[in-house]
Amino acid sequence: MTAENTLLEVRNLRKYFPVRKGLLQRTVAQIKAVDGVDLTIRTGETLGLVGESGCGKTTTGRTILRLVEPTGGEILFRGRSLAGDTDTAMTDVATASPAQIKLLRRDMQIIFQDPYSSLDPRMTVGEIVGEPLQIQGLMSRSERMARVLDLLGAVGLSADHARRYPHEFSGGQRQRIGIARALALNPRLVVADEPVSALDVSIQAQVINLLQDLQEQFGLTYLFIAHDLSVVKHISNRVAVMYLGKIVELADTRELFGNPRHPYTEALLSAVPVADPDFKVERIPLEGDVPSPVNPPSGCHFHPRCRYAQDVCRTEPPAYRAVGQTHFVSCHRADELSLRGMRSS
Amino acid sequence: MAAAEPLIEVKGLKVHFHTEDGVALAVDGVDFSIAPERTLGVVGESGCGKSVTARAIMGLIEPPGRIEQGEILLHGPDGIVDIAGLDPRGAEIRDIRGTEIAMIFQEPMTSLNPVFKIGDQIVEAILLHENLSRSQARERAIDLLAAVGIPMPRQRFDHFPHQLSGGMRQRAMIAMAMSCNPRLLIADEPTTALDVTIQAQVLDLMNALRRDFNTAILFITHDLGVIAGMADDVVVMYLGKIVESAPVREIFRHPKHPYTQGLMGSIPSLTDWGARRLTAIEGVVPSPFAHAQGCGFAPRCPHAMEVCRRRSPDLLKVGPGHTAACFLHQAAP
Repeated sequence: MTAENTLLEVRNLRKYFPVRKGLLQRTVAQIKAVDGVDLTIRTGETLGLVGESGCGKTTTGRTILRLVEPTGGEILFRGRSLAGDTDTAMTDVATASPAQIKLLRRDMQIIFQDPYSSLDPRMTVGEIVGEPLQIQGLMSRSERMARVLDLLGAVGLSADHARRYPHEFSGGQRQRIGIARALALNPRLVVADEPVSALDVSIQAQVINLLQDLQEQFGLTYLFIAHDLSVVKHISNRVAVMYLGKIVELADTRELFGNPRHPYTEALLSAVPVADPDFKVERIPLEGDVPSPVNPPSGCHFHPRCRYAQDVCRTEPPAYRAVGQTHFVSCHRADELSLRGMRSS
Repeated sequence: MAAAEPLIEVKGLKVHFHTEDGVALAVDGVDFSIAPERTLGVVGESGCGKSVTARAIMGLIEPPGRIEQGEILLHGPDGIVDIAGLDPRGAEIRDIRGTEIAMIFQEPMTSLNPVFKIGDQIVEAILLHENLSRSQARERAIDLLAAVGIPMPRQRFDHFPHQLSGGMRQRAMIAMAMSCNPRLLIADEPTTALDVTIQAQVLDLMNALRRDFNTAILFITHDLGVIAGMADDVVVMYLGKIVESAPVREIFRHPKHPYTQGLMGSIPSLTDWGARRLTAIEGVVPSPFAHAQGCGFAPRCPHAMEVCRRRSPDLLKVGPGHTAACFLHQAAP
């Protein structure tokens, strides 16, 4: 059922956070941060995951790594045998034991958004990058040091940086440290959670280029989570769009940007400021704000802001279905609507 | 940019911060002017001095910062005032703030008082500058909330800032800034903290207000996409200096300074389908405490020549309304 080149398959993933109130801290409601996400990631590709704040993209990434406990669903991941030379059968990360999780950490890692809060200020860069190796007990002290120096070189830092502390580095350099740490165990899947959004434009470009070089060099697979559509378009092979805990559309990058099938994707694309004063696009106004995930709208969650909404959208939740070989969308009207994508300039 | 009578002229502005680590040349000799009803975009990365320039115009430089040199000339019906020479706590600058120049910030939550209703905060701003009764000011505030697209303004008047979403708060901030019909609005990264669809709403609103109120805007951002859609003219800042200045179309079509070219190469294109590698600018912005000789961009510049490390280039004309501070475009000295 699962194709050979599938590295990760997520089925009906859910993560609900309880809202507690009162003296007894009773659960009065659920925040459905991730509410039935299905996606697959193929070996060697970059899957972009976009959406606005609060759509659940970060929670999805963290739940896939079991940094957050899922409420339900399956997270099937193809790991490696202990020797590291052969693939294992698909393991369900969602139900893995702590010992299994520790093993899976060798193959699944994360790069965080904030290069300031994600590095321990009291550890040297060498200790930070070497810590995953130490925890896994994989190498002797001297082997570890050699590996750390290799990694620092791979991310564009120098050997004498290993003795220094994070506060001595700029934001871009800190992000390089975080990348080196994520790569220490030679993982297969790296979840990159807004890895460049805290950086200045010129530094952002350096880190994007670095991520692409490392992918080629080490055969990495990325789940690239970001809100910046131009960055996602640049780096991703395929893109998934999230809205209120659900994936509303997923397609090859060119297809998604050129020929969107979900009205939310269309509106999102029209809202992005294009760095060209002659590029005039009619913005599709999205009225109001994203509704609360505690009490999402009935039917299709997007219907109160959708300019194509009809009665069925208010009552029936749309199915997530294929509308092309590699194009998935959850919209009742996907077949009849003709939506506008990005034109080339 | 060369209109008959500018609204504001900044001449040779230098703002330095005297700290324990040394003197930071935050703004190191900046000249520009804004004509009435025009929008000037200021682009640059963190630490380039764009926000300090804006704060200087508002008379908001506080120790350890100090305006060392230069003039900030505000042209008004009653003549020209040099803001740089005013006491930052004096009555004169307080009179200018709000009525002549207003400012909106990146994070509205830090500029709205959390314990007062948003309506009352706008009323206070109006009463400070205009001779209206409280109930007249209240009506004016409600009109303003409606003008910035806040639904049910009469009810929203009594809401506290935390009850509004980020986009609504930024709208309330804009309503407050526009309350006394300023001639210049300074917007410092006004949409950076917002989601892209909310950003689009706020930018559309600012464009509409600009037409309705005939306000000039000094628009500060790091986002070239936002600049392309908002600005009439653009200045690019690097290490406290303007490195290039031109009308918006000219600067996007024919960027002359290697830093401007680098910035444009650094952003992935949304409209280009080729799989192009980003041409990142190597290295990092030098420390503002360093005070190195020569062009500030030379250490990162792919075209740096020997002269660039010795002397600092002047901002000279390279085309119609277009200036750049780069020896590549200047006759050998």
